[in-house]
Amino acid sequence: MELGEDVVRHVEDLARLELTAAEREAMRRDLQRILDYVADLASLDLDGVPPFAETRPGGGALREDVPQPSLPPPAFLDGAPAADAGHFVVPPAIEAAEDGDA
Amino acid sequence: MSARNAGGGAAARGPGGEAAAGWEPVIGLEIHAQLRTRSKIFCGCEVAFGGEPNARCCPVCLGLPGALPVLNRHAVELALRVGLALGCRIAGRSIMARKNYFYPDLPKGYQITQYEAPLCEGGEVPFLLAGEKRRLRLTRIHLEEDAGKSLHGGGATRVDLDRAGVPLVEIVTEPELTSPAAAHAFLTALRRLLVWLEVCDGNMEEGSLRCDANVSLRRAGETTLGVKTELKNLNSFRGVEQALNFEIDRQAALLSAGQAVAPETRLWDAARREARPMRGKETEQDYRYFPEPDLPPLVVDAAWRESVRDGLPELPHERRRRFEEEYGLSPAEAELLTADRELADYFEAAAAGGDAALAARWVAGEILRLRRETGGFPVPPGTLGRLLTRVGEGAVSHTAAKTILERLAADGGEPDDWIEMLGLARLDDAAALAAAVDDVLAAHPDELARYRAGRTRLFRFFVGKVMEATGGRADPRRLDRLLRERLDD
Amino acid sequence: MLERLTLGEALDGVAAGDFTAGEVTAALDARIDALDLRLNAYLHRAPGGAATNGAAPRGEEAPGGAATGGTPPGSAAPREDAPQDGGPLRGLPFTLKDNMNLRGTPTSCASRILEGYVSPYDCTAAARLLAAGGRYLGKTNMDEFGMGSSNEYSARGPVRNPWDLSRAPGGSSGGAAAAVAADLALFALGSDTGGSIRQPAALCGVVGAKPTYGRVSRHGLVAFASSLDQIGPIAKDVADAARVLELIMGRDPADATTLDAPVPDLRAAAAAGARGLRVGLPEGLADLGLDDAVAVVWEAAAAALAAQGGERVAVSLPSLRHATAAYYLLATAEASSNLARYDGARYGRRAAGAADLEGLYRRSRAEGFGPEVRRRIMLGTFALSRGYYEEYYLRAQKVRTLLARDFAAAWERCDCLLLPATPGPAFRLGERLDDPLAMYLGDVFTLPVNLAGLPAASVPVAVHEGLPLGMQVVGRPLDEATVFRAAGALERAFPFRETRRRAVDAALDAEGAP
Repeated sequence: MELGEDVVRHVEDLARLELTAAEREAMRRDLQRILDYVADLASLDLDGVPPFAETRPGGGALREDVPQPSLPPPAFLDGAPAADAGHFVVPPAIEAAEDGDA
Repeated sequence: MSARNAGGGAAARGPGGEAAAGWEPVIGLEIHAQLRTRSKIFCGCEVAFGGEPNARCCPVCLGLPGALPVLNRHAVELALRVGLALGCRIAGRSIMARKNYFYPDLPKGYQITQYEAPLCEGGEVPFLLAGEKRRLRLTRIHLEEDAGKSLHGGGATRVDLDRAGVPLVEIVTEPELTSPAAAHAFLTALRRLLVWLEVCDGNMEEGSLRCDANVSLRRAGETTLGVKTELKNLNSFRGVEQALNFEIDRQAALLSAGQAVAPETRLWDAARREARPMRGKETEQDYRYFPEPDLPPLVVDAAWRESVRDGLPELPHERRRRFEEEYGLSPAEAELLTADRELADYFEAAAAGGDAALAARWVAGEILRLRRETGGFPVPPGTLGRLLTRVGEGAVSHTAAKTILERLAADGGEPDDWIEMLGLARLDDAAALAAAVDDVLAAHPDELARYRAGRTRLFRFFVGKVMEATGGRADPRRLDRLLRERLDD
Repeated sequence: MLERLTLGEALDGVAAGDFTAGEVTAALDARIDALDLRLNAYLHRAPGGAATNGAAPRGEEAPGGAATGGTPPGSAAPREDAPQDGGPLRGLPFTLKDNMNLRGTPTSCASRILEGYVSPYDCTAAARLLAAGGRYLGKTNMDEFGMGSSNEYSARGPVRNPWDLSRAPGGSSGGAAAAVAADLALFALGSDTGGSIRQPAALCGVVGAKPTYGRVSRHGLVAFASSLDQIGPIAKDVADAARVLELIMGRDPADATTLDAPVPDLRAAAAAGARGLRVGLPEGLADLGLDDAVAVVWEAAAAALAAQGGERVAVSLPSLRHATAAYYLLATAEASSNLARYDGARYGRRAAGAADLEGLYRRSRAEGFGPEVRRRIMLGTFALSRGYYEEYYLRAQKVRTLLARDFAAAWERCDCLLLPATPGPAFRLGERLDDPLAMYLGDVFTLPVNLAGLPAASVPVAVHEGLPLGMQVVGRPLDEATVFRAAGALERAFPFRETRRRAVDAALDAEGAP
């Protein structure tokens, strides 16, 4: 497929990456090359082949509902980029004032 | 067809509001219920309400590099309880999935939930709407993790991840409710069931039960669905009803004016009683769901499923029906007495081997009043049962029994002891009763004369005076007979 | 010359009282001090350098620099649960790739976005080594978040191949492989998602092993691609790799993808010989970029196993040629999700001056991630996105199933597969940086093994134009024993230790003293 700049911008949004115009064009070219390479997957007949995730054996360990000690807050708050009164702090989302406790 | 089962009528407004130009609301609900496990869904941190921020966190629920989720067996068990109680199909193999988006209270940048292969599908919730039996079909029930809390203010957002990782079930209904009142009634029944099953504590104020609503309008008789909007931030059942009413009015006004309803998400503002659109790209989210590679498919074999089913208590609506059939209670009484399991258990214990109707009246009346006052059941049901036996025998009057109940509640003991101690035994002695009647008639010659002159309403006056004189111990039927004999002499 | 010993020799020596574990550690530290500036294999060293009696401390920094009470992690006191008699590792040191958490150590994954991040907990594999009496020596350099095949995508600078310092050591466990190859470590733990243990081991002339998916816990391993990642040893010989792998294998309640299977005796397997082993040789590898020189070596390796009583079987893996495409869609998809947590909000590096949340996310991530990581996040996000999911991610999932079926069919006819670990020898630094696709294609022989979740090991067998070439043995699920049987047999046919020592010494001498 032809990878347009609009698609690259959209993927940037989804991935929360901020590329400069030059970076975006370089990214577009790199991704285009890779997509061209993977394009031959499109020609395979995959009818009736289950996705690998579905073939995983089920079961596996479940945890018993027994509380375990938590991490003391300093262990992760002290190294946090911004913390205040026991909370992590981040800049507000633009619509934060409207959301309330979403 | 089934839409009518779950609805409340063809008007666009629930009872009490003006119909809006022939529009029929179509309502679907999405309920999130926190499960009553001791630890979180994917890690061993404790589940509790309140407390210090970030005090119940670990690498897993903090989303630290390298941490991995491991599913809490009891969370699955509680979800199975709900699914089986509601008649869902339980998937022998269901898949956990990642729902990817960025938000401060979502530490991994994705929520682990279920998408294409949920634990439960189908099922239905029976409920009463204005005394009529309804059923609302469910689409699905699945397990997922809760997010933390973001608190906005002061130019920043503060994040507390204590709630991140608390286990939730998400219950999605079919869009088959046709009035806000029906939504309220449905939620009441669902909440009752979740509490009854000990799966959730059903506390909307504390957030252990949350509800989002989808609503669209269509002309009565149409089968296609209109454009729906989603309502969020509904913090009480009343809020759900009010928000739905608001939105139905808003959409009806638009559609009646020939305009289109925009598909959007609106946040309910309980203070201003309006639902405003959320800004930002929330409604255009691409969650990029894919199966969670860190968790193998969840297997629920027949043995596990059936053991959970066997462990289910009698469900509220089943018990209600049994109360009607076995105890001859009215639907209203039965509904009242099955509001919760403790109350239903209390009633049955009190009614055991006695007059069920009498027990029902007393439990619905005096016992519920005491419960509201004290927060519990100060009088054991067996004790009440023994008191009611005396009432049924005529050994003590209703009024006297109420007095005795108060003493039992305050000080414990046994009904027979209180009857004796307070001297409240029914006045059985015909002679003493006759003497009391004679005394009263003698003490009120004017009234007696007026009665004999035709003022038959004074009969009640004499009854009251004899009751007063005997401290409420006179048997009403005997008194009635005796008084008539005397008065009609 | 203590630093030249294998783990096995060091253990014997310590047991015999010839020297102490502390002396071995001291020798390694001294060599690292002397040489690592030129190789850049280490990102962190256990503080305090050599301590006596094997009591090398495990880490120094408390999170955020503040003391957390109790015995500070950086103290010289030995870890509380270290066995009294020294345990199976007798106090000897190990290194961890810098994507493995060890409480009190900085864990950066060679990324700017985790600058300053200090682990508050241990990864299970490291905990098992510590419980076995091992001591932490240091964290090794890597491609950022495991994404790369040359260790050039590290925010802390590239690692150089000790055989030729103008060449890459491979990746992403480039630091680990280089350290072991240059005798700057006794052994190392690496991680392997598409070949990141086996490829650098082969390009550096040492042994690398990846277990069956689920045999070693990923708890505490910073995730790149969750359904592909595994931890494994990089070591100086097959016996060392066997010993280390046995110590870290086993079910872990903290990792739901681990398997409940008994740990085999891999050291015995390594000595058991190749008699009766049916060795599968996949067809069609020439079409996948196989270098002629490597093809010759492959033939020699197959002949060697046959000479030791093995039986050669041609096998066909028709889906092999689609494996790279499937891998780069699936691995990047999982990675795009696994790396969403790095957003500057709760840990790691936060971009300065962000006025709102979106700005915080975008700038922290753009600044914090290197170009290869950004590329893979973009590709993976694209593959999962609405409108493209079916055509890219889902198809790749189905191709993965086909590949797994191909391997399963092969096991009917052979007990293990023998194929090159890499299509060619170590390439020059900078050679593939302008061509990400060329870089990806170098993993063509290793990544199918991760897609199928199979155990495998690479063993150095030859030198071509001064550079090592390694062969890869792949086994059935849970059959590490057969992998080690073949690996041991190859090592006996192609003794390599002296070759490596001489070549590395020559390369380092050729550079001259600093």
